[in-house]
Amino acid sequence: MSDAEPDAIVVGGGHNGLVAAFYLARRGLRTVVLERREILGGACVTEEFAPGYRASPGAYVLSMLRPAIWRDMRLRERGLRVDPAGPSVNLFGDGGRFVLHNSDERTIEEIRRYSPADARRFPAFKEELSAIGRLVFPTLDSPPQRVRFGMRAARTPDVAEQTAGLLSTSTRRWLDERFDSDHVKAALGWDAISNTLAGPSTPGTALSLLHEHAAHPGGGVPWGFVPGGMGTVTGMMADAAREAGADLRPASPVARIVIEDGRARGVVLESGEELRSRIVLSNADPKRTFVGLCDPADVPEEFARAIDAYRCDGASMKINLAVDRLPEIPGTTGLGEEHHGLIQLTLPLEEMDRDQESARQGVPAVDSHVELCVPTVHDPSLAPPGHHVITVGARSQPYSLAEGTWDDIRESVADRIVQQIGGLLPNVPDSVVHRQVLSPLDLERRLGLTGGHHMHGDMLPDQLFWFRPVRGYSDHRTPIRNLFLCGAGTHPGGGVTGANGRNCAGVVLRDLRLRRVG
Amino acid sequence: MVKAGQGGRWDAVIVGGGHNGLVSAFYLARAGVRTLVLERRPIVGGACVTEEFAPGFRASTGAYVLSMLRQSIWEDMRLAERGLTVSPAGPSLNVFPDGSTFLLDDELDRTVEETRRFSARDARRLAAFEAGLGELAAAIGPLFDATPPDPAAMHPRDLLGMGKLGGRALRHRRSLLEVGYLFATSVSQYLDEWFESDHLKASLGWHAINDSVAGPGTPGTAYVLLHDHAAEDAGGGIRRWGFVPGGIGEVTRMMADAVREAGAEIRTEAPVARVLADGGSVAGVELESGEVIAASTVLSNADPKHTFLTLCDAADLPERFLGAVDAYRCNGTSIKINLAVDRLPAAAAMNGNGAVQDYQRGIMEITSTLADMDRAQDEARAGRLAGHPHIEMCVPTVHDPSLAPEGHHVVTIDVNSQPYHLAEGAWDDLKDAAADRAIAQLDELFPGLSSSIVHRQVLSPLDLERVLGLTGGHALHGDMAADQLFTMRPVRGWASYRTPIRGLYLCGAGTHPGGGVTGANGRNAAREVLRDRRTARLRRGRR
Repeated sequence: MSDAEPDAIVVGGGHNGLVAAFYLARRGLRTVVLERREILGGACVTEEFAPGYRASPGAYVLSMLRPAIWRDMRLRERGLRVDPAGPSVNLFGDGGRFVLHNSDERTIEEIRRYSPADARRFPAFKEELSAIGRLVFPTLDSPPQRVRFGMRAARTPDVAEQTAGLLSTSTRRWLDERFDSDHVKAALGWDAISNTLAGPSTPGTALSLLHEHAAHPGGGVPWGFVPGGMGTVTGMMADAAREAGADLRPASPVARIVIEDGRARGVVLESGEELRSRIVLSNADPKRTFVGLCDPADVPEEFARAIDAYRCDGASMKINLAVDRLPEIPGTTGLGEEHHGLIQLTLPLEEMDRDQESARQGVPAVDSHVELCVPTVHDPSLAPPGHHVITVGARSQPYSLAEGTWDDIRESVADRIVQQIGGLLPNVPDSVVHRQVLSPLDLERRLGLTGGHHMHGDMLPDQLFWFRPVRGYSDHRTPIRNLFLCGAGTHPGGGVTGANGRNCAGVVLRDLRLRRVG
Repeated sequence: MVKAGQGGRWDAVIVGGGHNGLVSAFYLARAGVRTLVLERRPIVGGACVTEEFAPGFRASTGAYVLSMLRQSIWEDMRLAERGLTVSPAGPSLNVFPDGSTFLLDDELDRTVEETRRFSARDARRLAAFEAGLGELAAAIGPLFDATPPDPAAMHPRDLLGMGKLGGRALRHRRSLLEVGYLFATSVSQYLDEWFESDHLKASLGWHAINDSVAGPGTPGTAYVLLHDHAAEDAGGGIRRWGFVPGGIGEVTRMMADAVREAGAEIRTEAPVARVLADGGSVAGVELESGEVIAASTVLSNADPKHTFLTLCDAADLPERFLGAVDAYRCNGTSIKINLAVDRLPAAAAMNGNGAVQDYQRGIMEITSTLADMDRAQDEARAGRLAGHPHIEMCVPTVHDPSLAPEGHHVVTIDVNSQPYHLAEGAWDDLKDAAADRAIAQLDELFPGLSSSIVHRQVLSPLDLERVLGLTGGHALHGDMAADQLFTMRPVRGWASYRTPIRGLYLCGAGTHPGGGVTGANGRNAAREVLRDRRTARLRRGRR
């Protein structure tokens, strides 16, 4: 097969690239995946960051991987397991502690400690979001379709209107209308700031509430941690793709996409080697694809401007800590269920707004929202015996700095964050034996994410659905014929869903007049 | 205590004699409803008035240009016959901190020429940009005159409304996604996709920050770009807007005449203290004087927060509704300054020859880049007065010299990014210093302005709240962001001008289609009141 010209080249072996390659190869297309790094998996990998300690520089929990992909790639049969996450514990600077349980009954009990009225309102809050979820989630499994969605929306116009309301408003406004307690609102709403420079009061952020608080239809697989780390997912996907006949080539960085007469005709590797193909799929983000890999002369001006305006600045710093003991969570004795979930160092939404304003001005916020998890309680083999890995995501740390460079301030910012963690989890700072610090700039360099944005661009309504990455091109096709996008910069956005890769493969096969996937 | 439905002298009482209250009163009275308008102040007009602020100098306290008054209201109230005229505004002069200027003209050709000074590419694209917006405005413009349907209600009028909306969506299906995008994205993002010149983008996009704490980079602001296309095409073409000789108060004075001729009564200096309800239905109002006026229908021209949180008894309203009204964003961000000056202000950047220049007939925007406006709005959100804010300025006396003594002028100024909620200090202590700073900022670009001042009136957001009864000093009765528009204005489920209290309606700018002197809110509200009265009559007839 290496002699013949491949049918399809996939630029980038992230999870979506592997999924797309699998579906194409399964239909008999000669498919080559070219991955820049030595390992496949993109932002969904497990790597040793210190001797004997392994962690992910990107995704760290699995929640939304599409059921069709589980089935078609036979992931369960390959041994993929999800160890359910425990409750999320929110620790506040004022000593407050709020545990968001997986069971609504227990969460309601917890809310009652802060506000009995809020506890009463919680079921309606969940039901509203679930109704919206039932309208929205089915759109994940195909490129956005106007007529089909319009007809579904017309059947439940009230839910459609409420969906418009959710899309147009802010997390803070949505929660202010429904709850009184600042602790409750912060614990429910912090996700507003997880992937953008928007604050909880920025219109459009309310959509993030769906992610955590809408019951997923057809649920099935719980969300949680993967034994062996997230790299296990992409490792098995790579196996499935190879078995289907795809040729996966790590350590093959692509320098540019070859475009002739407005059509993609292959790629040139950084080594100088040219590889021609009928079609090219890019798993890279939209900016990297059209600004980095294409010749500007080949990209229509209007499209290029829209790509330029696409917001893709990350705002998180990632730190992996190798520690010699289990972190102690105040209010939890020994190893508790809270260790199995996410630990949020949470602030009132108003303070998150201020931190994000600071980040928008290019100043990393101090004592901003921090998320931690301890993957080693799910899989002790990720660290030496008795030791643990703590994965930390610190928000409001902007890619674009007003002053200085990330290389200059990375370590001092990390010191500050570890110190902040020590304020609420006192035994952590002294337990650190190694650490890996990844600023947004490091994420860009290491994982090829423009702006260090691990969602391949802000997930706000003006960059979602029909508008992702830019309007007119939400169906994975691009102005360049035979060049398709299959990464997180397409509908339905970031996260380890695999939907982007699968939907893109469907479009490619249709264009090649082959059968649809699935 | 009055009882619901109890007979009295009035069928309908309107709380507040702003332009929308007057429009409602007119349509109700014309339909034979015995209507009484109660206005707190000695004059009617609300935020659409002209007042003497210094001996011999008159200016508007709120609205100061007329652009979007609905054509049907012009005709029904016979405003043109009453002598209402609009003196067209000149081009808008945008002055930047470095002294550079951009003249935005209603004539597209001239604006294209102006744009060419900054970017030939942008100049080429401008016509397509404007045409695109014009098409979108045409798609949604007629919705101004419609009552937003409630998709959750199965009432025939809502089903009909949904059907009409669906039909409109189908007819304009080519524009649907673009309309959606305009309401989802930010002014900066939208303009960045079209243009490269910061001058052009700032001149087109500054509307984003008008009366809200949003910045041009805030998602949901892009639709304000339609503002310049929002006037109905009544033969005058787009942007047929301008100044009213005699001041904007002439509009409401003539409206009041029309109201009285139609048979309604207007009482001034009659502040309403409470809206009375009984068993879930409105019963009338109680004045601050203690006088009780019974009526089975009450329309509130006050903003939603004032109506429900101050005038109504919380016990009469559902908890969820109160929570939503409480979360309704209604904090103003402008200081208003009226200056009495002894000469016409002139921009240093513009050549003068003694005669009035075109730009002096328009609005002058003391402006900066969109990114600077975002920073200023960030300050405002944090409760601080922005240091170098966007300032809007106009000279109504150029259009009507009689508003000032001979040879003198009135300068009306809006300073943006000045939040109602202050992190530190009180407005009464800070407002004069804030005004001084704004005038000093103006003086650099309009030399001699400060030395020409003979009197001044400064209205902080707090003053606007006190003087005009606007909650938060918000001139538009609440932010006009996507989540507070159409079916969500003021709150979801209650966009049909009705309220949870039967017989109580909203008719002010806190309803669809929002603020500005359109009169649409008042007209739409009156239509719903009349519809409900017909239904009630039919029911009674059947019994």
